[in-house]
Amino acid sequence: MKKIFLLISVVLISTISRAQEATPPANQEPQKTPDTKFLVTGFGFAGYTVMDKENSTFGPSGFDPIFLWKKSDRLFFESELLIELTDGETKFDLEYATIHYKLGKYLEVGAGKFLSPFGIFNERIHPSWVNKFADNPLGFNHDIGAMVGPMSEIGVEFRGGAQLGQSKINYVAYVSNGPTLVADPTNPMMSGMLMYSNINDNNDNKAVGGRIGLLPFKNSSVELGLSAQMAKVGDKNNDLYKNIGAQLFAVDLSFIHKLDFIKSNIDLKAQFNMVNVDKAVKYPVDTTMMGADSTFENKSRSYFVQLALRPAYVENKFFKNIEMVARYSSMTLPEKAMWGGDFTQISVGLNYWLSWHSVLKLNYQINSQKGMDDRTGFLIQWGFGF
Amino acid sequence: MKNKSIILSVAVLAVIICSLSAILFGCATPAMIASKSGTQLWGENCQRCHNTPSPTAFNDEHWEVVGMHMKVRANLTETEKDKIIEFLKSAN
Repeated sequence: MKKIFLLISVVLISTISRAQEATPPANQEPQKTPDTKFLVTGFGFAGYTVMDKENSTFGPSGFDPIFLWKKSDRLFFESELLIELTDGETKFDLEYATIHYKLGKYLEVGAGKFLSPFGIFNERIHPSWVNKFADNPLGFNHDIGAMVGPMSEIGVEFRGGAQLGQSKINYVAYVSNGPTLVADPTNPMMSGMLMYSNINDNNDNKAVGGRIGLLPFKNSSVELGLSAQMAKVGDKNNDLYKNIGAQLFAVDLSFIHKLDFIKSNIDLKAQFNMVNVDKAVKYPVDTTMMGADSTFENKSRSYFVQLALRPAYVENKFFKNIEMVARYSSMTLPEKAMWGGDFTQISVGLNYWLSWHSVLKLNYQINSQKGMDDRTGFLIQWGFGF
Repeated sequence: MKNKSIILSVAVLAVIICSLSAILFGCATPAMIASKSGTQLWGENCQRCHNTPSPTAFNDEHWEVVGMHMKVRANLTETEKDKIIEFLKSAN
């Protein structure tokens, strides 16, 4: 693993040295504006939820400020805080805090906590005014047991983009703390689960991962991405689990197109996540519980497919701001794990765009879980960016 | 173990290909692509994720900051970022 990382570093450094821009001449014109530029941006949302068998409630609501600081054309810092009222509590978290430095035209390095380039949902779609739905798809949530794949990483990343003839390619490679395996006898209900928000690593083995995106057409209307991450996830001090590894894969698709015959834009997004954890000899479980199994095939899957249609080019001022949306998502967790289950969700809805970054969303949702009754209801959200 | 070796090898190969491609093909952009205006790039790239922003949403300094943020989010090329920001600054 270390040799491969060294090889990757050598290749990247050789690329950087050939892609370096020339230093500016000494006799520059006097600067008229300061080097340091700062902006607070971000998004917020306010919601109302009506699900059957539950009390209707205002919420979730939240505010995610984003701090952007540009020191020079090479040095840049960005950070997002998450402040949300949901599930009866206030959640406060650091979504990301990353220092970026441009090494050359095709490569920049980032360090700190950054949104995981595992697919596209985390990096690009999660803000309330970008996400066309009032909630995240199954498997793409911060909640424990509701995540299949990482939302963020703590480590170092290298990223960039380049033209390839008429096509484009973008690429990210990173090293991070990676996920950790829960194998704690005092917490048998979560045995075998991967935890992704890891400030401290539980071993000396770092996760290595990346994503390659290809935009084959000259108008950038289609992007296909492949993501992967490999890591040792077991605690190095526990002989039973120290050699347990995990392999994570994701495939993502984005398609945007203008349909002239109905004066509309169509927007298709999809992502498939797969997490495989090496077979453990035995997980600590509560054997008094029915269905408890100390050895199980630890594979998790989640995916979503969503479609949005907006008649943005009609003349009527009301209808041009209407957007019809539909999404199907699924999450399959190991059947014999105590946290296992088979979940699907269908969401359909209407959005009304008050401005380019402010939207009212009305979703009707059907939540299904194998062996349980369906939960249906409405989610309303006002999402806005600033 | 064998599968992991294969996967890692593919990943290393992919990084090498990307790096070499960035050098080789980045220097051979077709004229049609190179001549794309900031307006066109703004329309094509911003709407990949969200509505195209109004140029009047931010001032010149703020567009520069936003541009660096969006370059990371959308993995824009350096040329795309520069042209889009130049357009937004000219139109605000």
